[in-house]
Amino acid sequence: MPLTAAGFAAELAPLESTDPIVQAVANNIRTAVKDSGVEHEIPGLKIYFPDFSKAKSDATTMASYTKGCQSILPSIVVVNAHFLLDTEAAIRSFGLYDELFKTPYLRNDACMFGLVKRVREDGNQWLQKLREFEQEKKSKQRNEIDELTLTILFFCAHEIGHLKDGVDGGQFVALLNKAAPFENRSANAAVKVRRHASEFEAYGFDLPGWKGAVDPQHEVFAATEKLRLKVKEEDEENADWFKKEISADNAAVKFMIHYLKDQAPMRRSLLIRGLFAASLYAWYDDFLTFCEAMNVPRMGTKPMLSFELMRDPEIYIRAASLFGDVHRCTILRSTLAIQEVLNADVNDGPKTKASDTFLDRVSALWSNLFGQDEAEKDESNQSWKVQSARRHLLLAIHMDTVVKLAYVGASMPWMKEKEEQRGTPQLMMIEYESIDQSVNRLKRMLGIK
Amino acid sequence: MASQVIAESDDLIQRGIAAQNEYRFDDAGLSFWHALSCIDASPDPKERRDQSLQLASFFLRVTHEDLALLAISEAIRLDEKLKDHASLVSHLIFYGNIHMRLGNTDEAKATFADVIERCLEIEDYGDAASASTNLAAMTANSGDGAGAIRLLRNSLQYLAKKPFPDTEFITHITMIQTVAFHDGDPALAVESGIAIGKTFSERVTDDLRQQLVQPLQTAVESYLKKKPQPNPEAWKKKNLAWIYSN
Repeated sequence: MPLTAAGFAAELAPLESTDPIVQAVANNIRTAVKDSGVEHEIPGLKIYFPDFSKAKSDATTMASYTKGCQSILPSIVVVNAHFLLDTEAAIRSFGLYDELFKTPYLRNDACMFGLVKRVREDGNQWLQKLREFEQEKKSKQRNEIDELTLTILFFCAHEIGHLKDGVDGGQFVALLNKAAPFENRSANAAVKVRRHASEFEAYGFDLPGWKGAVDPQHEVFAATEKLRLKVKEEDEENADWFKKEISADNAAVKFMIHYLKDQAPMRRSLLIRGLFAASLYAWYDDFLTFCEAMNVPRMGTKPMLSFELMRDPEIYIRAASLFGDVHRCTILRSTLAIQEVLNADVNDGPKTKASDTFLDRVSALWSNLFGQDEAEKDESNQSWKVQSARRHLLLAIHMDTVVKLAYVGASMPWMKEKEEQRGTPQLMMIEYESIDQSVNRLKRMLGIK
Repeated sequence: MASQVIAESDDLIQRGIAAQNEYRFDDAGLSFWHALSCIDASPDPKERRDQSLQLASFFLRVTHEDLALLAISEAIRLDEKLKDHASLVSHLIFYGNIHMRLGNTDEAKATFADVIERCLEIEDYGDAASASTNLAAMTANSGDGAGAIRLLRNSLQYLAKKPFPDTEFITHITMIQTVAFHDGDPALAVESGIAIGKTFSERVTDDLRQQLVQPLQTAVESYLKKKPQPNPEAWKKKNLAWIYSN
């Protein structure tokens, strides 16, 4: 029998995390949600931060269990405390560096994997050291709890969006499950990644030469469409979920704009820092899981995804798992959220053309924001904007891998058809950028050596 | 003799080096982290402090700055526990220098300010001067030339009480550069130029001389306008030969 709200409360309340930072963040979030007035729309709204390791039986069998965050109708949001602590570890690790370009994790993919491995293997002790480190700091700078609060608040606002839409079991993140088999159905994979590619294209993330994948008039699109008809029912269901996720993201962005509107502009930088660290970490967590499971070899510090996909294009099918089931790409969501929150600050909006790439739009937005300061020349204001702009731009640039996987993956049915007609396989190598390549692109764009 | 914990830590370092040599920075970072975290098991705070310090230097060398920060922070915490003020100050300077290198200016500045205060309390003028000069360089970079010059003058006063040639040399160089970039009193740059010529001429490399010639010559011209000399060319050759000789 399904649990009632009282039943969930009885299940979750005893598990509430006693970790002091989780408690502090939970209090901040509950206050922010209360002040927002959203409880008028969702009476009895409750947000729980359970430590599922305290469960007496296997927590994963509990109806309220989530690896990240989830909504439970009519009025419950659950944030797994372990997920919050992992996010805290990512935020504090990146928080050791004020300047983006001095962040060692961005030197190469192996360094990013190193951070993920450290949190995975020894997360509690790493986090403890980072917390102690902050306590010993000499400056008054203490931003980590605020950053974490704003980031988790954004995740919660997404779940609140689901509750408003009447969606049960909506989850902010779909973390790649090491134990579960990866996608192996070519039709499902192609259709799924085409959905993502279409969304990328709509936002200005294109892949020159591969537009046929998302153009309904093109033969590449038609080849995938033939497969889609075979899984039509499942696809329509997934497409419906995808829309719900987009709706919840939009609600989260609106919530954050409302929450931040009367706060100092510099507070936006904390949200940007938090979303940057959380989404980049989450992407590399999934990417490492994928590379390990697929035995992707390394050349130097870089996983040779390009060679693996050239050697065995079937891996494109498995790679569809990197996109979750019905979720939007995490880096895209963070990038869009930052864009929307900042757009709200720019009175007349960024001056861009519909044909501009996403990167053009991000650049225009930041030019506009910097332009606002020309008169005042406020140094501290300029400083947070410089660092925030770099983070925002880097996320947009580092969409490279997911954009390529989506466009090329969505073109695979057509390529397969062509191979069959020709009777010989097509050798195709796509270069996937590592984090250092993205950083270098950003530096070139900014004219930094 | 090193305890078992230290031996384990050293062993983990060797494993990390092997991984790093194969570009497996992820596995290297993990081994290095374990090398740091395992020393928590040592019951001897002095042993833990000494190993933390060694690890901090090592991590910095192998570009794992996050671990270097945590290691030196641990050494500082243990210095306080051991009431070892001399070590504490030098470790705080090390800590401040890492932040400075990483561009964490707020934390670096706060650290150097803290070091100056601590050192003056215990009349450790050498370290006070080091911290004051580092703080001055950062203050100048953030646009406060007057503040930077005040700190550099403080450094020179501290060094008069406790000579520390390395710091004095850097302080004079920083003074010349700061005066040039922030329109400071040219007499201060000239004094520093003269001091370098008298005491540190052997340390001046061709590169450094190239960097200092233009700002110092500009300062000298302004100085001589305010304090004319009967024979300016002779005065220049006599006092600042290292700048005016070919």
